[in-house]
Amino acid sequence: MSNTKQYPMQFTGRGGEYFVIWIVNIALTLLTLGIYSAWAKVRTMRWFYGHTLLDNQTFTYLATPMQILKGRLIALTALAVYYAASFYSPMLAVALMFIFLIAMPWVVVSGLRFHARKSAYRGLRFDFTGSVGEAARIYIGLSLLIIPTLGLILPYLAYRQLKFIADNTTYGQTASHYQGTSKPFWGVYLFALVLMLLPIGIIALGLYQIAQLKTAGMPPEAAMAAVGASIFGGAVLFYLMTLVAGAMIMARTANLFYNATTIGPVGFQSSQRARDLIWLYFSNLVLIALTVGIFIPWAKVRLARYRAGRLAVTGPVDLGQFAAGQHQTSTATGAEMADLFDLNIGLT
Amino acid sequence: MTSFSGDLFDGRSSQAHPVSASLDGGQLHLTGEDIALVFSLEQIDIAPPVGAARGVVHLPEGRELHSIDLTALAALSQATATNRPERWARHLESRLGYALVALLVSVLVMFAGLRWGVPAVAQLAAHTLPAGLERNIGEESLSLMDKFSLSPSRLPLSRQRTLTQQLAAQCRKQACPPHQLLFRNSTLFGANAMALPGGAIVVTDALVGLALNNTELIAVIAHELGHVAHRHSLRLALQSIGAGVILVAVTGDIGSVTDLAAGLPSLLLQKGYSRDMEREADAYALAWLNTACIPPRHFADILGRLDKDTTDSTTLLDSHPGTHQRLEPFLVPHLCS
Repeated sequence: MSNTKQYPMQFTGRGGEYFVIWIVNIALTLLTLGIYSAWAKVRTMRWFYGHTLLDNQTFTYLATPMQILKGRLIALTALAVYYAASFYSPMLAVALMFIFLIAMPWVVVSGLRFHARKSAYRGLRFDFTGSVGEAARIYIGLSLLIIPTLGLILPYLAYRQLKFIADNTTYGQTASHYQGTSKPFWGVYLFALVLMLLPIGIIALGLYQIAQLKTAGMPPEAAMAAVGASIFGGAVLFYLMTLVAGAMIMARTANLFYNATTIGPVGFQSSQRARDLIWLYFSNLVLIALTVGIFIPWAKVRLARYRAGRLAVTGPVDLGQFAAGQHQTSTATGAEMADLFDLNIGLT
Repeated sequence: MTSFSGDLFDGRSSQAHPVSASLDGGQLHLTGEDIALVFSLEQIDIAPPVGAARGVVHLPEGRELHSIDLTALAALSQATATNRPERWARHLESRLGYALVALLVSVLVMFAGLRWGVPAVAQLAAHTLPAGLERNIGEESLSLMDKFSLSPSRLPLSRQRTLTQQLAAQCRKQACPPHQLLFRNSTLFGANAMALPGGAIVVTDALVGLALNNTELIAVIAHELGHVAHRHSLRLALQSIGAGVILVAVTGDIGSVTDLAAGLPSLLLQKGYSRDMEREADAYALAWLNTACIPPRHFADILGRLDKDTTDSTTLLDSHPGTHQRLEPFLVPHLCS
């Protein structure tokens, strides 16, 4: 019985094509003192969505520049008020920080909902149905436990954040489900911890040996130079390890996210490999540095192509059987009212 | 008459309906199997195409028309008057020549913004910020330095007192910005003098040891007073924030792999900024010394010796253009009545 089929995800954009869009976006953003950045964001998103193909159909980005601009202005105002307050009255700044913290779950949820509702595939919109209450439990409740648990809660926090999205997204009226457990996240983060301890251990060992040599009669100037070299070498290694651990976490969590998520009859297969992503990040970094930033568009395209190439969807032979959800079928005024409250407060 | 083919989605299900579309008599006609739809141009909204990405036409009641025929969509977009600013962007993106102009404009605007814009704004901000705040920052950085790179001075108290009194005597004769003279020992900084936000001037023991007389030290302190008067430390801190904001705005993301790449130019910028500030402080010192009837040559003497003596990488001279060129004005015989 074969009424399911595997569809590869494809990314068809090319770096040269994106470079032109990217540089025009930057020039216009600079010339308009940042106002054009909202249009730049929409054009960039439309380009990436319009080049992402599944079953020969592309994704559609529906947000308008004015909506993005509104969200950015609100975020910028809040940031400016906070900075001004922290200069003139630290007490007021603390109070504002507290207000921001209280509002954060709502900001997170409305951002996720905005992003989902402005994304469509085959004429059907996605939606996000997570509650502000659960966001508060995850983003405030669990985050408060980071310090008392010395960061041991981090893998579980990452799991809950991911599950919050993977369990509360709908495509049309079909809801998503996340079947993954928190167990594999512990392995990923433990591995990252080991990677990060490596440079610290090497510095400590170097300093210990220098101290030994110093007691054995090494001249103080030479000891100082050796300490400097050891710390510098350690810092370089630390930076590289951050890159390696970051790429490893990205690859592994992307797989954990997709492979345990289903949307109705649709499942995902993500097979990103940490070593591929480390190489992509590292080579991108070197090329961006060598070209003074010109390579950035090609770097982004390489990543998009890799991620799409490593993702496949298993679903029914006919992907045309999904039905629209509540949000989309509501009356025009209803949709407009919802649009009014659809906000993506943030600078990205 | 423009006609093209595409996929129609009705917004109620994910089914794609192949249709052929044509623009005829100011109306968009869609025909396909069991489909015959007509829309006036006011009802449709064409998402301006980006690059070679597939184009989308938004139709009433959540319908979408997807098409790969970008030339036809461009013609359709011409017929409707929507989305003006993006049509402009599309035009700029259409030719490589325009892209190169955009690259040039971006580089020039960024350069001008970082070179002149950021310092100008930082200067304005430094002078509007309350003095108490600047003092707080200064105290904070001094206590940090005391912990990590400075140790108590080993100079005899009498020498410290004499220098402080000589400076105070000069400052009774002419205006000095609010300041506080401090002595510290430091292996890291070697022979050096630093002006912190809020007016603290730190002179290292090694610098005092290098000076042939107190007048030379007063001359170096005059230079540091210039930094204090112009609020250079605060401006430098504000400028690095400003430069960071611009670089992040351009590269687009905070905390990404581009950080390191963006960090290198901002390091170079810092050097450039401090160079300008050294010139300002020099000009202040020259005027101050002339008013105080101290031969400016003393400043040139001690800095010349510092230049030869330099083994450490962080010294007064580090961020300077040719020391010679810089010290020339101090060698002109001074006029003092």
